[in-house]
Amino acid sequence: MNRISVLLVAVCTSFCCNAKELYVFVPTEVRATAIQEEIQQSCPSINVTVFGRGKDFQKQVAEAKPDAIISLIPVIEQSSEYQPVIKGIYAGNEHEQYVLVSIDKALDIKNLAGLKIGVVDLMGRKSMGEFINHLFQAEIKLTRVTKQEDLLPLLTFASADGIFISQRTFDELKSKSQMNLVATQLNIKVGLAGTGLANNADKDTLLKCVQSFSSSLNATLGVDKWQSK
Amino acid sequence: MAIKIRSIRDALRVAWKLVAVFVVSTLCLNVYSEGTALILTAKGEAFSQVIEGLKGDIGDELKFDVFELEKDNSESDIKARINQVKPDVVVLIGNNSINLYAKYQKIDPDKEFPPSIALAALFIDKFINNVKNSSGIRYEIPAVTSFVNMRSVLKSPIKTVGVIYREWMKPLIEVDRKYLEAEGIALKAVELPNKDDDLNGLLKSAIQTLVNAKVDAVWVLNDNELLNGKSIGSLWIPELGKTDIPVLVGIKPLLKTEFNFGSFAIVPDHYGLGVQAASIIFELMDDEWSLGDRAIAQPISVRKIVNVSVLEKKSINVQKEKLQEVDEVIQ
Repeated sequence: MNRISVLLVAVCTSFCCNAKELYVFVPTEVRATAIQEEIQQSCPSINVTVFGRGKDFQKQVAEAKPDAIISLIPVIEQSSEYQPVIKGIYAGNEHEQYVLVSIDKALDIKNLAGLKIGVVDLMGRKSMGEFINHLFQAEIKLTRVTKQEDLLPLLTFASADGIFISQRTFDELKSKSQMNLVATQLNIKVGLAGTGLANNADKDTLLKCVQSFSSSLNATLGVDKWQSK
Repeated sequence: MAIKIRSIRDALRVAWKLVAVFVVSTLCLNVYSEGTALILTAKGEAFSQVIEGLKGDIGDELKFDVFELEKDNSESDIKARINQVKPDVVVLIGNNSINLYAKYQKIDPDKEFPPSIALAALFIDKFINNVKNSSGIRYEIPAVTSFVNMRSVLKSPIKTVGVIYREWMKPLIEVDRKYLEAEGIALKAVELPNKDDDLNGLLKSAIQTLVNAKVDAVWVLNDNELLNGKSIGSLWIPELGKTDIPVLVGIKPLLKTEFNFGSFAIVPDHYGLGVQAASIIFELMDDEWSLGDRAIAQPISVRKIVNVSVLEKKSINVQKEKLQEVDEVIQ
């Protein structure tokens, strides 16, 4: 009887410890628990954890080292331990156009010095500052928020002069707000969501997982399909 | 602690320890090279979340000293802590912290005080003038934040919203009116006196005024004089419970399904409040701890709670897919 118990425990432990861990952080207005539920349904053999804040995601990835992560490509590229091997595609592109949004008047992109630009914090203060400065090729004063939905109040209460968001997010914002939101076009594109794998992770399992996402889940993550690199 | 030195070897050992302490101290100071923040706070889960957000965002760029205030703490305790910590910035969490810190400043009013940021305190505008070199973030959620969120969930339009307020709140209501207008929402505001022998009678009549005006939603303020156990049971619930008007409240308990009263509550995101304070502190750090003429900021981050049962009872339709964007859905 004891032998059987030991065997059962060993089998259970083996199942438990072989389950892949997937951590997810993609800025969206949909709450993390709702996304987690949907991904978990699509990928029952994988343990899925979705984070609502970039800071928590970064910390847990560093501590727990999951087998795979889903996040925006620049976030994955920031980590030396994950290779972006599956990329999200939207309308045929793996990058999307970003704009600066302000109220009533477009911002002069040649004259952003001293202006506060709101962004969703993807990587923490220093890394985020370096990332945005690199994109703009200029020193940008950032006002970081933890949630995408906090960007509109930044404009409403003049806590920022503009916000840096994707064209797709701008379209969503216009349907939510009746303020006179104006987009300044930029020559900046940022990678969509992708899947990064740890060196020893099983790519096929993860590819099968993300390719089983429903179209509504993909839309929440800002992509319409996934493509192996 | 007295150290007895009996030989040259003892002297060398003590000297070595002192050098080690000096090196470790210097290393620690280098890690927290940007300065020190003193946090004055009362105990409580909400306040802890504010501190978590603040510390989480600032990380090791500042050294933190958290002073949890007890009932018997006085201004002289604050003075002793300030002399000990020598903070570059003081964070005041909750009304008690602001009041005690204001008393501390009165001990030596001509002294130069470090900048302070007040958070998670009700009606901060009323108290902040008592504190020198201070600014903060309001605790009350602006109506525009709440109604823009409510509008995105409901199928029916939100064009006019009603509110009842006491006279002293007029400046705040006018600020809210301006923000709401920018979002295409008109505010029908009914003013009541600050004090009246028949305040509940006036309140009943004011609620009826809003109902008769067919406002698209009612905004119920957290004002103890207008919203208390008696008025909730005898006025608010009977007068609004029978209508099909969605009611926005500022505290979750008023969303109880059995009340058939509040359907939306937009409440502070305390972690987010801490992160917002962190961004102010980073700006102060960049400005060499100068507060300048920084105005009190509006809170940016909120938590959204919706009671779907109450909405259904009132035959108010929601966009079901939008419920995924709500932090808590009460079925």
